[in-house]
Amino acid sequence: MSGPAGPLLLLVEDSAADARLVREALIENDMAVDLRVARDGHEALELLFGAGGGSASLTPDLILLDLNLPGVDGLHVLERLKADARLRQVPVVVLTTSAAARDVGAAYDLHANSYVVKPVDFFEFVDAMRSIQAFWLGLAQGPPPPARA
Amino acid sequence: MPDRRDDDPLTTAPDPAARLRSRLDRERLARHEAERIAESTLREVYVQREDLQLLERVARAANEAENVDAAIGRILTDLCAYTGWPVADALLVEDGVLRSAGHWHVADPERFAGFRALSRATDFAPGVGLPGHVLAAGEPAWIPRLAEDESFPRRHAALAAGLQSGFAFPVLVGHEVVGVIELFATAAAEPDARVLDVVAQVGVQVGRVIERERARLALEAANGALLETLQDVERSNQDLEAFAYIASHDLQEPLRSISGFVQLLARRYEGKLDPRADEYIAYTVDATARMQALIKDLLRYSRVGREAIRREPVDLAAVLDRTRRSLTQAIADAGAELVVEPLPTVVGDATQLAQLVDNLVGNALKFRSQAPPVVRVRAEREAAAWRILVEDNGIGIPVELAPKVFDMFQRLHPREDAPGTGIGLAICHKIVERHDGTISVTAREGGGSCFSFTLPDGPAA
Repeated sequence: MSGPAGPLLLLVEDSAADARLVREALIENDMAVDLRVARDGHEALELLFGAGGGSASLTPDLILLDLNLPGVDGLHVLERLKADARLRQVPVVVLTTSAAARDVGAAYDLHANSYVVKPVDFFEFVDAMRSIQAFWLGLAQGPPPPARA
Repeated sequence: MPDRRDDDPLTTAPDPAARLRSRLDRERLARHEAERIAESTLREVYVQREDLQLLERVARAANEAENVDAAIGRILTDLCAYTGWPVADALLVEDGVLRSAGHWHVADPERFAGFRALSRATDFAPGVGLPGHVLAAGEPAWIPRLAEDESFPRRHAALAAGLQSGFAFPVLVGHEVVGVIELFATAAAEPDARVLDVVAQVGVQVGRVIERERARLALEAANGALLETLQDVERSNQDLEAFAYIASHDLQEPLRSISGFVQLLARRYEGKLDPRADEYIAYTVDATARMQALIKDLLRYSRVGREAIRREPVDLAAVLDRTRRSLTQAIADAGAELVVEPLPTVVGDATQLAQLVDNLVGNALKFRSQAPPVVRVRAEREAAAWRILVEDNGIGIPVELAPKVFDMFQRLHPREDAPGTGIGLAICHKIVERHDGTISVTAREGGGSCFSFTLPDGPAA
């Protein structure tokens, strides 16, 4: 994304349409965000931990995590994140279609920071995205920058 | 015979000794006669008592035995004891022929083993052999001398075992011969009317046992079939609910995309395409919104059916407070008045009951007439339940359609007049059903309708 470098937001979402809707919602909310999209759990882990080739690892300001992913699923990604000293400080908002108590409980067990069920109506979704941004990238005090080695 | 003169001393012969002797003779004769009568009466009584005892024992066996086999077994033993005959067996009709039912009473198993084995292995068609004759005629048959009866197929085996005579009688259910019982003796015996008379009654008794068994089997089969049907229905209901849940859940995924992009189209491109495109987009937006509402209600419906319901005290007055708050806008828009009379605390699932009341009050507001809407909620005490009534002065429901309104997707009004998915009242019905109550609607005098449901008292706390 070009323009002013806003907060870095990693979206882990396998559906291109849903990823596009997140992007459109961010535009509707007129908020500058550096949005990176991982299309599955494997890609997300590569981005966050750095691929074997030694490319730089990513430390987003906020992660939006879908649970239902092909291959490495969202809960597994969450588990890996929260087991990592650097990444466990990054707030993770689970953004998914499942309202099943089982999924919600599993996500919080793995230390998800919040759990949001995607509204079906687009404008409700825009509102939900606005709230997420306002809280996690506005009101909430984020983790301090990592100490220099 | 008494002599008139003997009783009159004035006209009899003067010999007192002769007179005494003759009197003694007469008395002896009279006593013999009396004894003979007494003995014969006694014998008669005794025989009748035996008959009665047999019938009593048979009746007891018929009533007490756990099943047909046990009853027949006991009765064969009783018959042999009664007749003094050593061999008895029962045959039951199966596929139109008489077949040994495996019931035997034999006094000397070793001696009669050959005859028994042959009898067990033989099927008797109507008219064949002693049992076959009884089956065909429906009446008892008696063979005084087996040796002389050419039509008795088991003659050789019978004679080898020393059996000389036999008789058989039908086991009757109504007029139908369902079996035959036969007895055999080791001496020749002429037909005995008394015995035939008694065993005819035994045959009817055994028939009763079989009839009872048949009825029990039929009832069991019917019960089994009913239970199976019930289980099928339950299973298919569960399948249906699971299907509804999964389908609607998975339907939401693509729908969110459709709805999202068509809403974006409407928002970003309205007026930038031609008017017809705007119209198409508007219809699509409208249709997706309806689809969303449908799916949401379907999910709600299946959730009401699937989820365990809680049984806790629910203050209906508090529920109505919440309803009033959540319907504030609708009440204001309709210019309606919601009157809530004192309501009890009932036992049920708070969330579901709130959904129920919201739906009913919401409906009352939606189907309003020209008059300013007045919705009244009140409670009536019934024998072991509360009846909650939601009355309105709206457009009402035609009586003939009243029972249908609780069906899924049942709409009485065009969509344009009354938006809705047609699932709301089906959800209400389901909620009340899960609370073991009933829901109904009646037309009110002077217009409007009255929806009412019952909530049975829970077990005493």
